[in-house]
Order: sequence, then structure tokens, then C-alpha cells
Amino acid sequence: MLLCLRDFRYRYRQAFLKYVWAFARPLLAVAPLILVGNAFGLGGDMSAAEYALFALSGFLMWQMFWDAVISPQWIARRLRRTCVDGPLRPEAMVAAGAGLVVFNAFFYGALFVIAYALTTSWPPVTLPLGLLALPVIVLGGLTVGAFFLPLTFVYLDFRFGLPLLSPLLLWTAPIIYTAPESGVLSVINRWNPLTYLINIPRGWLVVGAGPQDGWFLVCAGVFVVLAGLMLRYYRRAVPLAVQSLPQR
Amino acid sequence: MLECRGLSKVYCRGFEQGRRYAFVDILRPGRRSIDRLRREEFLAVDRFSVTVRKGENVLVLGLPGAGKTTIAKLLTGMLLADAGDVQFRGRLGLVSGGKLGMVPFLTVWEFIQLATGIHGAEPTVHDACCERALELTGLSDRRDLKIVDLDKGDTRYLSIASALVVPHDVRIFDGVPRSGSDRVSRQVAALATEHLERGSNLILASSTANLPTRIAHAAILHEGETLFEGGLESVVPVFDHFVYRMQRIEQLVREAAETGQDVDSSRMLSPPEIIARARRSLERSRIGPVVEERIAEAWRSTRPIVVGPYLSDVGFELLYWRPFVAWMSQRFGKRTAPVIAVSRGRVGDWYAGIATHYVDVCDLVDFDSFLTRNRQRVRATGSWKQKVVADFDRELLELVSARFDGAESEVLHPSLIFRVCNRIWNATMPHGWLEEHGAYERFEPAPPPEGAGLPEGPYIAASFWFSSCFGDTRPHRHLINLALSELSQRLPVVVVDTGGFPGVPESLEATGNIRVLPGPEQSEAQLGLHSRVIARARAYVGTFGNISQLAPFYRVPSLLLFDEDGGLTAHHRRTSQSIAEVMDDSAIDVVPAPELNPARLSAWIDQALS
Repeated sequence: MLLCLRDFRYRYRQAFLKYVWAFARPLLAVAPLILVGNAFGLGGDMSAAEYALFALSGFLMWQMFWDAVISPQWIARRLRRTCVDGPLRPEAMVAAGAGLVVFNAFFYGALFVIAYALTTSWPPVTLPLGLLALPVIVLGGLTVGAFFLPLTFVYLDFRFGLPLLSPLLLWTAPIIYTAPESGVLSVINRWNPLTYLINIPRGWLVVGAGPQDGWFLVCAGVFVVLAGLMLRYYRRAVPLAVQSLPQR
Repeated sequence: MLECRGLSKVYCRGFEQGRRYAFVDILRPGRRSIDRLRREEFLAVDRFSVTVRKGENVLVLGLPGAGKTTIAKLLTGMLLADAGDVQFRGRLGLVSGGKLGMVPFLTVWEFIQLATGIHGAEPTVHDACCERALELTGLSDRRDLKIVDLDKGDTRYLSIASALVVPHDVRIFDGVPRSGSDRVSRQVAALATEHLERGSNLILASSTANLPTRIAHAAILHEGETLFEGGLESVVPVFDHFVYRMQRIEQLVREAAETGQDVDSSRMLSPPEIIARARRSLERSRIGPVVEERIAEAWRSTRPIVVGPYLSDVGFELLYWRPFVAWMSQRFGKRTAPVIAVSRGRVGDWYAGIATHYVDVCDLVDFDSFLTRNRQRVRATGSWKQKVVADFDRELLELVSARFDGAESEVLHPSLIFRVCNRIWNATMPHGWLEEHGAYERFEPAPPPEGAGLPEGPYIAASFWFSSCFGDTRPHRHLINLALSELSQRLPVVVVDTGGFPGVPESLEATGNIRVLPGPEQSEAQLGLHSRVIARARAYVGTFGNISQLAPFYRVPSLLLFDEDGGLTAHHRRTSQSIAEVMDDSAIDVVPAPELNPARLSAWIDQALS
């Protein structure tokens, strides 16, 4: 919590617009996507309002996943000296990253509520299921992030390269477009775990239950196992990475 | 209890190579091993074992780079051990000088919360710890200021204070916080001392200063390897000897590199050889406790105690013997039987307050006999220093006894301190012994010198001679003339000739502003006269050593010159420094001769006379 707060102060106290950025960033990122998606008919049979809600909800959930991947790196990058100087527990960096995700999630939630109000839609009865699925999405992101975190201590290439993964993850899952029935993209969608990790909870939040919902549980199970393995790796890797930092 | 067994850590010399290895080791576990070192790898810690029991302190001494910080990081889990295991239950704390990546945009309160959190403050005591850290650093009223808005000096102790205020079962001190001149550093050092005195600490230190009184076990670490371990009383002198020898070897290598000559291989001992020699030497000499026991025994008796006769050099008497005698009376308290100080030169003023009686050698024998017999003593013992009780000493002691109705007395001869000093100068005993066994205090005010023909108003005292630390060279002669010229322009100058004064230049002699008092061999009371002249001077400038050591004890600002730091000068300078530190109101400036230029001298005189 304290580390999260530290990062927070560091980031927003240097900005003139302060916390406005937490709200503005996802909104400015998703607005062009919705406009372009509507223009190119990425929503298939959906109306413009339906597509806006579909794309916004998908993007915000994907953004939560991505925040979980990237936030521990942000925190860790600024904690290098602390790791060298003091007995900081490695898990604290991931926990602080999760804290940042939760903070952002409040803004995303607010955007989601506004979108519901503007599109005059009513949430389905599966909404609570969608909300319960959010921690699993965050856990998935943190698991991926924890793999990269020690490596970014050793070589900055991982930090520079990680953002390149962002569009790849966004476009290989049907997040701002409806999944095609056939073709290469359809195969990629089918084999991409993000498709199930994000699309199914998004369905619970926006339209209700679907025929493939069981896959989410499978996906969640895999990520829980992966998270356990990653924790073992992470506890061993962080001290090794800290050792590679300049010690003075 | 904290226990570790066979702890080892592999490091890589090259930074780039180290990163490559780290990358591989992260992705492929099991590659790193202490038995199969890769290129550029070495053992930073080699099979280190330690046990810290509840209430006990364990000390690990090592030069910088010995592996102390690595051990601290291994024990606290900041680094992963490549072999060995650590067992600990409870709260383990680390006290080190690290700043914990201080973020300038945090407020003081936020940073302290974070720092105490990192050091493991539990939620129930977290706020109390933060308040204590604020109080300790004097920042309670500035808790809402951002770090960036604070003076750099105010942030210096934030991190260490945060580590000290958090309750822990065992603490690892990576270095012992030292008390500085400011209030905050004194408070931080006091809290550290409190923890250290309470016990349950592993102390990793590179010097023997500021150590707690109780240490159950100590070890010397060098390049990750434990070279020697045992009790504090044996490890500390061995370590001091080790440091001295290692510095000497470093100096030899440097000199050889400068001159392009080969280093004498017989002097290039390996660290284990140095330790082995120091241990042998230590075993031969247990002089410190023997001396203390002798003094205690003398003090316990109901007979008079004679301290002396002191017949050797003045500088030594002032730096070591007189503070040692003062320490005796402080340590063992007042006695009903008399304490009789015996010295020469009518220097009874120096022993006022620490001896009940002063007997001058020239009250016992005439001055010429004293000079002759003392020279014979030097020839017979082979040393000017009183390392043994010579025949002349015995005769004088008998005469003292006769003056006190033939009463049997306990004798504390100067050879006690000379023998200890000999060990210290050979680096087989810690220099700290002298500081621990010396009471540096201001002398009682001296009566005015009579018959010296001194100027009526204020004057400056000076004394110059050439010695092993201030050779007879043209620049030094020029410096003396410059000093006399500068000084005599401000106030009359009285030069105390200790027997080697090169003389006043003709150009200055004409001013009539410089008066020279002849040396102590001129008359039996000359040394006492010199002493009183210096005691009443406004300032003192002279060669380092001998009578020059006197001025600070009379609070006379003194500027002492030296050039070569060879021989025993370094030891004497260290003692001089201790005097300056202990006696707050004394002003001693020991300056290398080449660094003294007219501007600096002039500024010093201005300050001394202000």
C-alpha cells in the first residue's frame, strides 16, 4: 500500500493536471478506437451505441489486464535503489502494482457506468459474475508482469520491448471487434487465452451468459496454477536481478 | 536466535558479465554454483557461519570490501545465498546507511512511513515508530514538507532513524552510526548505542570505534573468508594490527608503482600470514591487563604511591604520561595515602589536581648531576624513553622515599606506559587503549612566569626546532622566518627554545619584537618557565611535538607544523586529534608544512587572536 502510494505521489505530483490523467488516459485511448471501429463496422450487426458499449467495456477490461502486466514494472523501476539499500520484500512490488490496478479500476468503473447511462442500456443479471471475474483478469496480468519484472532489472530491453506487446495482445483477441467465424484471425482468437479471460466476463457485464462460459473457469484455473509457479520463480529471480544492479 | 551455516555468495567482477550471468541464472536455475565458478566470478562470501543468541552481540570486523554488506544482505534475504542456510525466527532488522531510494516528491511523513514499513514496522506500532523517527530527526514540525524542500543535511538521518525505531528481535548493523557534531547525529548514535548495549545484534564494522562494551564473540573477515575469530580482547588488537599492515602493504605497492621499482617480497605478507603474526604477538603480550592490574593493586594499598620519576621527553609526558596518571586518579578515585608525582624541570603545575605532592628531581639531586646521570641512563638502557626502571630511577625513588620519612611506597613507573606504547606503535595493541586510559582535561591555570622578562601586554608564544617530522630544509627555514615575521607584526613574540631553534633572522631581530627564551638545559626551572610562558600566551605556533603539545591543555589556540608523517608522528597526531575532540574548547590545528602559506597563516592568526 505504501509503495503504491509512493509511486502515486511520484507520478502525479510532477504533473500539472494531477489525477485527471488517470481518467483521461483510457478515455483518450479508446475514443478513436470506437470511432474507427464504428466506421469500419467492427461490431458486425451491432448498432453504434451497442458497439460503443461493447468496445469500451472490452477495452477497459483489457486495459486492467495490461495495467496488471505493466504496473509492477513501473513500481520496480523506481524502486531499484530501495531494493539495493533496504530489506524490501520482492512480493511488495507486485502487490503495489496490484494496488495501482485497483486505483485505475475505479476510474474505469466510472467510465463504464457513464457508458451505460449514455447508451441507455441496462446491465444483465450476470453483472455480479463479471465483477467477480475482474480479480482473475488482474491475476493473469500480474502473472505475466511478474515474469518480466526481474528481467527488466537486468536489461532495459524488456522494459522498452514490453509496450510493443500491447497492440499484439489487443488485436489478437476479439476485444474491440466481434470474433470472425473463419479465417486466420478466428484461429488466433480461438487459441488466445485472452479471448476467454476478457470476452466472457465482458459478456457477463454487457449481454449476459453465453455458450462458452465454462472456458473462463478453465482459463482461471490455468492462471492460478501459473501464478503459483510464477511466485516461486519470482522469489528466486528478484534477488538475482538485484545483485546485477550497481550496488553503490 | 539468528544462525547461519556455510553461507556463500558468488559475485562477478565485471558489471556487464555479471548482468549476463544474472540473466542466464534467472531463466535457467542451477547454473550458479560455488564449486564451479565461471569466468570473472569469485566468492564474495566463503562459507561464513555465525550464531547470534538472544541478548548477545557478535562482531564481524573487516576492511571495506571484505564482504560485510553482502553478509547483511544475505541474512536479510535481499540477496540469495549460493550455498548455506539461514535460520531465524522473529523480526530481523537491518541498520545501514542506505537511503532507500528517497523520492523527493514524498512528504517527510510519507517517506518515514514507507521507510519504517520497509524495515518491517507492524501496523499496530507503525505510527508510533514514525513519530519516534520524526522526533529523532527533529522534523516533527516539518512532517508535511516535501523531501525536495528540505535541506540535504536534514534528510541525512531519515533513513537510518527509520531503521532504528522499528522494534526487532535481532538487528544487523552494517556499520555503527557515529556521533557527529550536530544534535541529530548524536541522538541517532545514542539510540544505536542503546540497541547495541541491549544486545541481540550482529555488528559488521570496519573499525573498532564506537563498539558496545559487551561482545560475546568477534571475527575478522577478509575477502569473504573468516580469518580469525575469538573474544573481543584478542580480535580487536589482531584486527588493528591487520589494518595497519594492510595499509602499509598498500603504501609499499603505491610507492613501488610510482618509483618503478619492485616491491620487497619479504614485506608483502598475505592476509592469513599477517593475522598469524598478530596472534603470536598478541599471545606474547598481554601487557594491557597487566598494567591495569598493577595500577589497581597500587591503588588498593594504603601506602603512598609514587608516579615517576619522569625523565624522558616532554611531548610524551604531555600526550601520554600525564593523561595516564590523570586517568588513574579518575578511575580509582581519591585515596587517603598521598600520590606523589616526580618529574623534572619544575613542572609541578602539570600535576596539580591529580597528585597530592610534586617532587622535582632537582630537589633530590643537583641540576648538573641530573643532566649527567640522565645521559648515562640513556646510554645504559639504549633508549631515551623509559622502557625499563634504570639504576638512576631506583636512586631517585629511594631519595623520594627518604623525603617521606622512609615510608615504603607503591611505584608506578613511566615504563608502564612506555611498554604499552611500544606495543601500540608495533600495531600489536589497539591505539584506542591510550584513549581509553587517558584523561584529557584542561590544566589548572598557571601562575605568571617570573623572571622571564616577558612583554607586559599580550604576546604570542612560538617554538621551532627541526626533527624527524620537520626536517632541516630550506623551505622549512623559510617557513619559520615567515611565521616569525607574520606573528611579530601582530603581537610581541616569545620564542621558547627547546634546544634546536635555528635563530631569529637579522631582519626581524632589529624590530626587537621577538624574544628568545633559552633551552631547558640552561637551568633546572627552565621547562617550568617555558610552560608558564605558553600557558599565558594568546596563541602558540610551533613544530609538532615536544613542548608544543602543552598549549591546548591551557586553551591556547595552537598551530602545529609537521611534514613527514613517518615514525611515530601518525600515532602522536592521532592522540592529538583525540585531545582536540575530547576537549571541546581547545583549538589545535596540526597542519602539514607545505600547506601553510602566508594567507592561511594570516587567517589563522586573525582567528586565534579574535
